[in-house]
Amino acid sequence: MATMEAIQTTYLEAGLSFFDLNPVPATYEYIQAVGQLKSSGTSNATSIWFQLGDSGGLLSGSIYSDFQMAGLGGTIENVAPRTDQTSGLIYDAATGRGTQSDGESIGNFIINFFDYANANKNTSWSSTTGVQDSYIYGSTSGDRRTALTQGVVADASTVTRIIIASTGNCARGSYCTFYGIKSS
Amino acid sequence: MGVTTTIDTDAPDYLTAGVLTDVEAWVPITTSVCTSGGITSITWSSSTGKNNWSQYLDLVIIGSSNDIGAAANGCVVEFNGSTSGYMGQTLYGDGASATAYADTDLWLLWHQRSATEADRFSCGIGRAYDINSGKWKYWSTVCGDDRDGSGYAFLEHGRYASQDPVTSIKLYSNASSGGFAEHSRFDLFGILPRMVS
Repeated sequence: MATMEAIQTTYLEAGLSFFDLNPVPATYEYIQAVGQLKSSGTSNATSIWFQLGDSGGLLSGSIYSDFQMAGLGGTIENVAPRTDQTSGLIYDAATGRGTQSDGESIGNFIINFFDYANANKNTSWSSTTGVQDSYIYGSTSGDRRTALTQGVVADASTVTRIIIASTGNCARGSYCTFYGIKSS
Repeated sequence: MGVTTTIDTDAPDYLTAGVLTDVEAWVPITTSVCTSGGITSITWSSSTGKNNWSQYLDLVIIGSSNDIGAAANGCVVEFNGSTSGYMGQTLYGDGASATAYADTDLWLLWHQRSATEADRFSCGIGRAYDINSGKWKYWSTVCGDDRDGSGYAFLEHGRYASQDPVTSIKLYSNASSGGFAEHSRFDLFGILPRMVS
């Protein structure tokens, strides 16, 4: 087998509530999710978030926490630690605005889930995300962000499902590929 | 002297009778190594075989480079020969403070150059997303440059406002004088999807 394999790519031609890797193969050590996500919502405050699942279903309890540092124009956001969340918040306002054309503003993400099949530790994750929300071509104005985030899901069970979603449906043009990375 | 570029145009071995087989998701396409200093730019273009970029979902560039100029400068990324349409959001730290900055360039990496530190090379990993779509093209990079007491850690996300597929990439040093140093290298990888029903 290859060291890094594409497990599943989903490319949306119509809205979808979330990207879903189910089941997550237990044959890798790391899972990386890469893609672009635009929300069908019209709020600036749309977000990219995820939930993990185990044999008992999706983990929706208050077990997600993270640290994040972000840049917004000339402003640094050293986000206060978020704890006891019901999902992993990869980034606020990182999906692009739903009112813009499908081909323009869209959020980008790379998320890593570490040693997800190990049932002896909580699942740690990290991500880089960003969005350019400037809808005026050639303008340097508009909402733009880039962020580095690290978090943990306080559950030690083997991860068997990963969903990645936005606030509102994921709009067409969004895509996500889940990659599996093997060790030696 | 100059740049040695190797391009893999072999027929893809991951296609069997038109079916994508289980292989590495990253396909090494092109490597450029500077064999002398002062190289101002490197340009790659899609062609045939593995170097036909229309088969890839994303492209990834890994760079390890330095610049012979005395001033701090970076390696800029341009798509399809266009010099406009770029916007980026950076976040970087220099060990003393962090800075957020809105930019009109996309970067692969940044050289916090010191003329006496020729052996220290910056490093960066950049990704171009969904390069064959009708969407604007997006770019992200994570890079750094340690100068033994000074330097940067750097994160950027940005876009190129064009719906055209990406068919060429230019990497260039934005230094007013100088250029990539000898032994600088840049590697291009095509990232395969796996469409499942």
